[in-house]
Amino acid sequence: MMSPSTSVIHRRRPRPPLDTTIHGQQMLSDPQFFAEQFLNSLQFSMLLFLLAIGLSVVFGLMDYLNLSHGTIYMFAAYVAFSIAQLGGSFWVALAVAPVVAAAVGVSLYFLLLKRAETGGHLTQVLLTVGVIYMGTDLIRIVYGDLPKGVPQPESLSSAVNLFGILYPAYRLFIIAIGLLVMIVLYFALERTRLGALVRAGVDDRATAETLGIDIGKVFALVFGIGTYLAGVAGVVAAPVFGVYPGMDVSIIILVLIVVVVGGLGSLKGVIVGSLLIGFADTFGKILLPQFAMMMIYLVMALVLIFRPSGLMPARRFSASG
Amino acid sequence: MSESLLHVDDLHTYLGDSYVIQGVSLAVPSGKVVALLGRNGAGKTTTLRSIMRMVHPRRGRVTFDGRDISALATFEIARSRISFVQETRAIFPSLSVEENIAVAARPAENGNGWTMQRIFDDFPNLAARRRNGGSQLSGGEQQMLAIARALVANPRLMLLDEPSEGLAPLIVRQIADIIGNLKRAGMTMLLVEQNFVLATEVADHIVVLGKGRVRWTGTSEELRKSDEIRHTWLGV
Repeated sequence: MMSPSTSVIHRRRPRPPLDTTIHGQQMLSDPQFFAEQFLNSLQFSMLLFLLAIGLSVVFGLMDYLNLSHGTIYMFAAYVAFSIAQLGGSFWVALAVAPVVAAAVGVSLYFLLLKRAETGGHLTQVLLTVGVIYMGTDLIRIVYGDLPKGVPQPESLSSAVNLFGILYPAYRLFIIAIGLLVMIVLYFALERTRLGALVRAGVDDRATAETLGIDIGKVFALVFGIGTYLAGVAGVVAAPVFGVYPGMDVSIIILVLIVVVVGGLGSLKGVIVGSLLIGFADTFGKILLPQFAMMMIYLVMALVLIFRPSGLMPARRFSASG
Repeated sequence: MSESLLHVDDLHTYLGDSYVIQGVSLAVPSGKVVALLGRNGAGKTTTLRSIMRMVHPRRGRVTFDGRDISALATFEIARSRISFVQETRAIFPSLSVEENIAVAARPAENGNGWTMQRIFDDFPNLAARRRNGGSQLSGGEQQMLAIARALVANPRLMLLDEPSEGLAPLIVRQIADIIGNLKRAGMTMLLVEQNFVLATEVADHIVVLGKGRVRWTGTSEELRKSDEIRHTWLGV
């Protein structure tokens, strides 16, 4: 049972058996199927969340559009694959790969991406799309073109009986990680001094600097945390979707939609956006398989018509008076 | 004149293509209040923003306490104990009143300066709203918070940009009292103000800017007497 996701990923995987036996229209009358798809949506939403939070806060804080965020996700997934090849367990990969991803992400930022800080979004898009191409080619050179599998951890390979529904334990684990990160980030942002500094920077960076706050340093830390979480997403996604060159591009588009729909720079926005897109994607593919991708864009269009700055954007100081 | 804490020397600043500051020099003596006056567009705010390096001057030098700060980053200038109260107040809407103060706090070197507690003792209306969001305050409360946020960094120099702008007369009186009290406590201030009465009441020294240049300097008393300067450069 695999959660439907982006078209590229979708094509590479066999259709979930239930999709072919039960038509979408019958879905609502089958509570078991509905519950499973609900959990699949939730699990996919959590992956989107782990990726989108870094992109959104980096954009909110520095106004930097870093499309190569997904490359870090792919990189971590391949590090996890290599660790598995070398005989390391999933847990070793989960401990190591995100740290390596964050180190690579932060180095990449300071050695290259930083140069486009003042260049505007177009320059940033051009530069980071270049990084995406280079990243994909590097992966191809080292690992080849074919998709590879990463085994699930032994301890989570069974199914759990959840109110009468058998559901893979590993997928519940992904949901749990996503929820845990949400809670930790909420408290870090709302209840700590660093969180207040981040919010101040997102509200009004120039003013934060006039108060003696080194936004560059706050940003480096936030960028590190964001790429770390992208790495976590890469590791936990690998056993479900497999690893392949281009896995970053197929998900980064959905992640961008999450950020736009949720509103830039706010944790609540990313949570709401991830859930909305995760559910729209999963259920869209079941209910209206022929319009699967259109469903996502429809949601985005509707949100942008009624809430042009997203559902829950960070509150911005308006320079009046 | 006592030793000057802040020296601005031949500052030239462009905003895009427009030549806004055309060689401004001024000095703020320690413990004194200098008011920067002039019509809209004279370059007052840009002078303050140039001192903080929120805009980058093409030429000129700013020294603070004998140290050249013209090449420092904005946050380093702030950490050298210059607080800037912006015209827009710039309260962080996502932060509570308390957090707005906390992010700016910088303990005094001698240990008995402004603390969060002392701010709330002196600004009871802020204490009453300490858990409120920054976006829920009235204009007057925002201005009080902006001043409180500047004080809690325990500055040696305060730059105030039109603190009375857009406020009701009663609130303007309160702000004037706060500035007066700070002055009596020995705070050095560079004040930009459109409110002529407030500015001349509190300032020891006046600098009149017009079209990006210093047009006149003198005391409040001299400015009150000089109809010509007031009419030509201030329109009052």
